Amino acid sequence: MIKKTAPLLLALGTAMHAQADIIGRLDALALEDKPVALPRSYLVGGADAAIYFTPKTDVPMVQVSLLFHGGYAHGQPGLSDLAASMITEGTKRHSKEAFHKALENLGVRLDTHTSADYLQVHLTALNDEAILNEAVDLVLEAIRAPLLSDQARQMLIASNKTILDQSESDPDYLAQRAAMNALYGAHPYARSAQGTKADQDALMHADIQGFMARHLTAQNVKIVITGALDERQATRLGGRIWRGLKQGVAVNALPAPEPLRATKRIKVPHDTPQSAVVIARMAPSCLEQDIRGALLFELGNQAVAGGDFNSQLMQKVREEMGATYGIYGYDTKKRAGGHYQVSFATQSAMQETVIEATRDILEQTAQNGIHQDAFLLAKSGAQNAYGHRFLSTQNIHAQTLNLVGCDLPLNTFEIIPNLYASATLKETNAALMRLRGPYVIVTVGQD
Amino acid sequence: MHLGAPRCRRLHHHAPDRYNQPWYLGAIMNKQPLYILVLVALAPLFGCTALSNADTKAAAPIVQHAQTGILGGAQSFVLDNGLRVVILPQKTPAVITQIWYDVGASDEAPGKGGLAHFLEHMMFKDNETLTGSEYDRIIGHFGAQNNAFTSHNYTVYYELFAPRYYPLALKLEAARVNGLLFDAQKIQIEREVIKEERRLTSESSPYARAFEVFWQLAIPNNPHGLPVIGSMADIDALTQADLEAFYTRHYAPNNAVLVLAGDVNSDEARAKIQEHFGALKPKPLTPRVLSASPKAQGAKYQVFADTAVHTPSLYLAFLLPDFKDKDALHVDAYALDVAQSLLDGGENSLFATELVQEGIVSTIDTHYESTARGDHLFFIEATPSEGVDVDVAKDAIMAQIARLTSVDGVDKGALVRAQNMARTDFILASDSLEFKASLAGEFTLRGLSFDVVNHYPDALARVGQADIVSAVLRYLNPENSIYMPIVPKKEDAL
Repeated sequence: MIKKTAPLLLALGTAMHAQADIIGRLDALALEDKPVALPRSYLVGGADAAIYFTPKTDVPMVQVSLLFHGGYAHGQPGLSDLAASMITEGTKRHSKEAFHKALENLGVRLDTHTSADYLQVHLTALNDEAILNEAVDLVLEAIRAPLLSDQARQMLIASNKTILDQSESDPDYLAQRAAMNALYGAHPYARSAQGTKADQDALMHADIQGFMARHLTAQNVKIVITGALDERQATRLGGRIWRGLKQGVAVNALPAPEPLRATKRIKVPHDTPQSAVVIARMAPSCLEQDIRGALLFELGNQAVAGGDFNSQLMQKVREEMGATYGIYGYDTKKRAGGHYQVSFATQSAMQETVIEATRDILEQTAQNGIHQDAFLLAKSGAQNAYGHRFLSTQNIHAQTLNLVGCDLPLNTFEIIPNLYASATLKETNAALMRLRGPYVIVTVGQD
Repeated sequence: MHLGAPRCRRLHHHAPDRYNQPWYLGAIMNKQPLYILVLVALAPLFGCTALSNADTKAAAPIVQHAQTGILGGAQSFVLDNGLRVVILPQKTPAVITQIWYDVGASDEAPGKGGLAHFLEHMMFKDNETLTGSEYDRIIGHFGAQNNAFTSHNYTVYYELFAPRYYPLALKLEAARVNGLLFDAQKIQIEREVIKEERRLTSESSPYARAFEVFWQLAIPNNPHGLPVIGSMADIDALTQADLEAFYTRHYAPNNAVLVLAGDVNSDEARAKIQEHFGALKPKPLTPRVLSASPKAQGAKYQVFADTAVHTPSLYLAFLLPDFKDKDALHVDAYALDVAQSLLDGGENSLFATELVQEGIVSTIDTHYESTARGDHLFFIEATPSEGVDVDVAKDAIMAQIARLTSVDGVDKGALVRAQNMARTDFILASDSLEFKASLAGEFTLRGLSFDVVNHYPDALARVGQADIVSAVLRYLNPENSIYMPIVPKKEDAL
């Protein structure tokens, strides 16, 4: 077998020479390079229908997702979440029992839930066209003509209220809730999917009916299909779904949230041995950023607050201070404007020290950027790891949903490797300037 | 919460939170029955063909497993030093390397709780080949995903690399089989990290606190009843000498299974494995003792009251034995799989229709692992609906379980649907490379046949009503139950 001979990372700084030697020696162990077979997504619905298909044929399964513009930021608080649940509560023709028996007989998994921007319906099945057709017909029936029984509504509301009650003992939940409220203010992105117990009590039958009629239409849907079908089969399946939806009117886009003007410090007293901490700031809408800008920020963030042990935050707070089990920073992408947050938990006595260290790293990075060696490490890692995004049908489907959810171009998977390759330190540091405050800083724990 | 939840070196990045999930997460979080998610055990050589191998230095015969099934195409062999190896070629843009050590929290001496897990953390520090910093940098540079976990029974390390770099994973893992270096200062810092991990996962939530108490109530005087992470006092008391002794005693090629799954050429992979692991020396091992609690302990009951509890909840469980029967599983293991599906396997299950829809409980979940090693539990957690007494909810759950003890209680249509869904779920699970590698690792370590995995849907399909009645009567009965109401503690009771 031919081995790759040219070692990578010849340009590491002096302090990194020893490690560069090791990386170079290990790189020499590598086998012959084989290009990663990247998935390619197709728009198969023609001019009118937004139907996206990504083939993956080695496992005989298909995933189908319907993304309706109607997430929890739309309508009354809690309404989208309740509507999503009501889809699985039976139809005018099929009782709940009959509906689920039919799906189970087909061996089909159905899941509905809501995110900030989308009410989502996900279906997973074997790649048998007859099964898929029957399954989507059932799901379409549930969307077009749900039973909407009052008994089910009351049961779901009672269950949601119990879950909300339980969440009051969860420091992470409390910290996230306080941070989102402080960050987004009156904007509906401040809500949780279920809202509050009072919100739940206000959700009436007519509200659900109206929400479904407004949002669950052909004009508000994106259909994403991934798996072991050919393009013609996917086109037929997608078309069947799109034609089976009611016609309606496209809903209006949400307004942008008000920018955060100044840093806010919020302390939520809670009887726990460990404080939950969220440090959050506004981030661009996923519709506004170009792919290159997003990738540059992702590269830089990997060096500052990424998921491995090389990030500045993990090195400082976990490896040097022993003050946390994990500390990570990441963007949450939303259509009208997202946010970036760093989250961690630490014993209450250490919370202020860790917050100070974290803010210092974020501010220093925004001002001075990251160093060349950290940039090269993040860049090579991103390039080498790119294929990991496409390990399974579920991985590819999730990646495609990301892409479609933010209206990114269909050739995104193919152009990303070139974008990584051409990334520069200067551009990356420019992208990292958005780590500058103001921030919302929330602690939940003992003061 | 998973039963006996394994402990990891770090949290999974971007773990979803309930408040504000990224919108795309639903697509990768399809609910699967637990018997699919935790069908973790492993397997030799039922219906396998031994092949000669002229291309590598591995002396032992290669066992070529069946070509079909979720582990279809796997090869097994054993190096001269006793390292058991499974290669599972797959068409994926990555290769996962897992090394399973046959040691876990159940091997800890009294007062040394958390030792196996602490050592797992230390395995990422310096060894004779690499410093911990170099290890992390290599993982970062080559874009690998890595982590480790410790359970009562096993300690597992893994790396996911692009296919051309998998030999690096072999080198990294081989370097720490017996070359680990211990540094007092690094041990002390890692001790603090582990204490933060314990606060995060076991102490910050009243339900997690209750879980630890429940587990000890359920499996007393048995290491399986103690938390993998150890108590805070035990974590504080563990010494460098403890870590070194545990490492020396248990980490050896002949106490491990290496799994390589992904886009590999089997011949080439065998040679690479021999190159990196072949020179490691075996050690004399003490056979592990499988923990087994006395049978018929009688019903157990304990209230857990805590001021942080806002909503009453309950844990209910039934003690189960190890279902391993030679290299296969006892029929009761499959019967309980199907029983679990009938009770909690979807919107038409007994719990969903008779408890949730009837307003008795708001949430209910069951956990059962048919291939678990040693004593384990059929576990139920439920939250009564508002206004429903927690004991009333528990009695209602028991009543639904009791329905399975009569042949009339098991609806034939429901049985067929449960088996049909199991078949589909099993095929869907094969989408995950990590899942398949884990099956191969645990089944090999346990001495279970890969046929158990490859014919799992067929075995479920053979489960009859009489099997379910028999297993439920034997195990899911009141005399074998452990029950814990979790209730608010009133301030004046402090």
